[in-house]
Amino acid sequence: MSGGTAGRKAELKVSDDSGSTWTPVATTSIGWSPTFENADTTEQGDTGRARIGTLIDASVEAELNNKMASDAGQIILETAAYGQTEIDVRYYPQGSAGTGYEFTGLVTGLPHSNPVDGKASSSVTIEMSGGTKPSTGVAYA
Amino acid sequence: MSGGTAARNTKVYMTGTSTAATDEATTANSGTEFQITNTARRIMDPDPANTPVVKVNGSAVTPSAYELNLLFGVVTFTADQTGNTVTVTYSYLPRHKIVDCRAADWNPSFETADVTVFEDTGRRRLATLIDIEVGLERTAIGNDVLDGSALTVDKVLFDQTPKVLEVDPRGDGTRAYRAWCLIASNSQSVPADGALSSSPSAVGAQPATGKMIEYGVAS
Repeated sequence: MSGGTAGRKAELKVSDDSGSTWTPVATTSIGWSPTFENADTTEQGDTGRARIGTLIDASVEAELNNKMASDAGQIILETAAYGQTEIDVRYYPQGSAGTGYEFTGLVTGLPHSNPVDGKASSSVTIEMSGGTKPSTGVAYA
Repeated sequence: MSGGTAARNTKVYMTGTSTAATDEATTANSGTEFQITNTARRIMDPDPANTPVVKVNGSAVTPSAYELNLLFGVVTFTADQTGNTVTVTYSYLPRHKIVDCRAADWNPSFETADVTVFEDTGRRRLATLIDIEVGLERTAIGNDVLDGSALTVDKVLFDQTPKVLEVDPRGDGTRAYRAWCLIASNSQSVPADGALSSSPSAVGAQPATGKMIEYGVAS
C-alpha cells in the first residue's frame, strides 16, 4: 500500500477580510508549528510525571517564492506586516481540497535577502494572536 | 507556474539633502489616493519644520482630511477627490543609488506582547513596535558625488544622521522597501590578493513624523 504526501501539494492561504476571501501565497516551503503547552502537576505519591494541558500556540513559517507585486498573497502578508494588523491563515498540508488548519495571527518576521548571484528570497513568520486555539478540519470551499 | 525574482536586478538607494518643492504635482492612483508624480521627489522630509501643505484646486486642506505616507509621497484623503487637482508644498529627500552593492538583506521585526488572559484557549498577542536591520555588501568605496555638491556617497552615508535606505528587489520600482535608518557598523576587508569588500549595517530610527518603514511603488 502506497503512502506519504508530496510536499508540492501543500498550500498556504491568507485572508485580510475575516475569511470572506482566501488568497494563496506563492511558497517554496511551509513549516507549521503548533505548541501544546502544559504544566507539571506531579505530586508526591505519583510514580510518573503528571501534566495538564494549558494553552495552545501556533506559528507558520514559509519560504516565499518572492514574486513581489505579482503575488497577491505576498501583498496581503506585507500589508498586514507593515500595518501591524491581524490576518487569518490557512495551512493545507495536502492541498486545499483536503483538511487544514486555521488561526488568526500577526506577522512577526518578513526578512528579504538579495545576493547578486542568487534569487531574491524572503520568508514569513506568522504567530497566533487571537487568543483562541487553531481550528482544524477546514476544507476548501 | 514560473515565478521568483533574480536578485541581480536589485537596486539600493540612500537619501541626500532636504530640498524644497512648491506646489508639486500629484497623480491620482484612485479617487482618494494621490502620489507625487515625480518619482525622484516622493520621499518627504519628516522634519516638523517642513510639514507638507496639501492643496486641492489651489486651496490648502486641513491635515485632518488626509493621511500622508511620507516615504512614498502618497496623500490619502477621507473624501473622494475625483476630478480635483492635488498639489503638495513640502521638502523632499533626493534618492541616490548606492552603485557598488552586491548583496542587500532587509530584516524587519514586528514585535508583539503577550496579552493572554483567563478563558483564552490559545496565546493572545498584541502588535507593539516595528524595527529593522539592513545589511549591505559593497565592493568599492563610494566616492561618487552626491547632490551636485562636494559630498560623496560615503561621506553622507557615514555622517551619523538618520537617512532613508531603500531596497528594490526587482529593480523596477514596482515594489520597494524604504526605512529610516542609522548606520551602525561598516566592517571592511582589503586582502592583498583580492577585492575590497565592506559591509555596512543599519538599524531603524523612528523619524519625528510618519512611519519608520513603508513599502510601496517607487516608480
